[in-house]
Amino acid sequence: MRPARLQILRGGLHTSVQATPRLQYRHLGVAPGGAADRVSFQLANQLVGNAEPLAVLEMTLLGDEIAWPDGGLIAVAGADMKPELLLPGESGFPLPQGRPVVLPPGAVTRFGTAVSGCRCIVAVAGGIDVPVVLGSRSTLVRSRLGGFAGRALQTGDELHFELPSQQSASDIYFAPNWSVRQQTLPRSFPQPLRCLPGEASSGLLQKDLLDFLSQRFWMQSESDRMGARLDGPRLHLPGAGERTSEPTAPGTLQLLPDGSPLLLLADAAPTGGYPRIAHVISADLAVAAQLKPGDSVTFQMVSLREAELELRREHLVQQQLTAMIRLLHKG
Amino acid sequence: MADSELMNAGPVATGDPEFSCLGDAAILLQWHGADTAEQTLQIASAFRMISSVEIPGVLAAVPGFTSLAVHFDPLRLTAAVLCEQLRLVLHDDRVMPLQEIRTVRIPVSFAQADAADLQDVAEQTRMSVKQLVALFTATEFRVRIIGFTPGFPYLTGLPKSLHLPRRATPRVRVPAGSVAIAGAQAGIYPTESPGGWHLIGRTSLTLFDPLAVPVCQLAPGDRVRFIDQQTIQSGEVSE
Repeated sequence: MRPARLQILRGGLHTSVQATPRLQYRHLGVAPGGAADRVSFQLANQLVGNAEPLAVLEMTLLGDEIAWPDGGLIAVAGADMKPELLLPGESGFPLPQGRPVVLPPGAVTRFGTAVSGCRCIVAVAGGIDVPVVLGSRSTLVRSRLGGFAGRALQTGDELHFELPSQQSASDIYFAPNWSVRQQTLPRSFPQPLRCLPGEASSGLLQKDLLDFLSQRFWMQSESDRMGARLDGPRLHLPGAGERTSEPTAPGTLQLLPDGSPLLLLADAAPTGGYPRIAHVISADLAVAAQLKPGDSVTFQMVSLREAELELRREHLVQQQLTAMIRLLHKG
Repeated sequence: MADSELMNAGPVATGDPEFSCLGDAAILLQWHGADTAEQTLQIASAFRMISSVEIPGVLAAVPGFTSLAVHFDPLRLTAAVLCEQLRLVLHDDRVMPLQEIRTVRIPVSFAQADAADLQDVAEQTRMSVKQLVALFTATEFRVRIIGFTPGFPYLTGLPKSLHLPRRATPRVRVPAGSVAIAGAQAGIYPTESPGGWHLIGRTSLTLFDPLAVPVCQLAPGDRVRFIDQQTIQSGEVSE
């Protein structure tokens, strides 16, 4: 192991250190957090050979320019920010995604605007070294907790990671000629999101329930890691007054007082007072986290059985990928 | 088990919650009936019972005002199996429900500098500041849930004469430790955050510290009494 640094030469729109969620403190008002696109987070970690999913950088809509003075082994997954690699004394070229990339000391990576997807994951072999707070290295920016000083990264920040020993001698750029296709990017619009009914869905006017299940909704720009604001037909819940604060989960669709749905994401508070009209199934949460402002979605009700089967199917694909990546690393 | 069976499996006995799915990775236990102190205790008790047993695949239990969520990993456990296990836990005589109910005393400064809205609240409720502080410190509150921000306790028990709507314009920055009221509730802002409640005092007690053990000083079901710091200093309270 050798200590290594990365420096943010130009900060992106909203980049934070994310890792596994903080599961055990939800009853104290602490949001679970963690990488919003769990599938890309795991893939990027596997590509760099991390046995466990370790802390990564999660960039949103516009990425950062990062210097790697000590080199590193990285992998990029999720949103396509058309990253470029600049090596000392050479002109820039596209940084390959979905595969491990060995960066020699002095390399610079430059991430631009997301052309597809919303969140781009950059994993490093050894993981980003930030303190564990309440059982996780993830940043909960809203509560100024965990990650790098509890906040989003800024120009000038310097982060540390431990370069695994087999990587320490490398001073040349290398990337294999294989890559893993991004699985969580919406391929066509509107992107269907499957959901289970919420307790308030039966209270919706019949016409509005039909609207909810047949009309398009658009992601609004006032969306963040807490939730995605959706614009479309306004839905009405007769008799909805002030409600008590009750549990929610990532994927819960709350109905805001103005009749628009709010899709809760990783950093949403564990309880909330708005009616819950539906819950996006776990298997579709990663793609939901990759929707960017302006993207359209539709909602489709499925059974609990279908939700369970879909998650199992997704898990099997992940397991097969894990085995294949291990083989490729050896070969 | 089909969805409909899971959803319709009703209460087993009086006071038992109804089970439903909160998405595919959480079960919601919903208590019906009056929103009372008794219900708070039932939920706090169920929370402690479920948290005290090890059910593989269960990640967290989260109390709400009238319900309790049990989050789980759907790859390790199905919703149907979990519902059955939860019913067993709630009816297992060996799993002890909430027994001791703590009373947590919280010292509060009602000095002008610490209580931006105290004067205003006194005027709106047609009381003198002295009467208001006396009423507030004579009240026994109960922690319903911790939520909104890490460590923020929602306290019920606020006397009716102090029920006021939230401030028309929320503050961008409420100082840490602020004791506040809104609607039928009182609360304490553990860290600096935005907020729309009326600030009537401030405590120097640290309610939430991620590096401390325990992380949070309050838990659902706890009784809370506010003590006027001035009376402590002048020795009027002897306990």
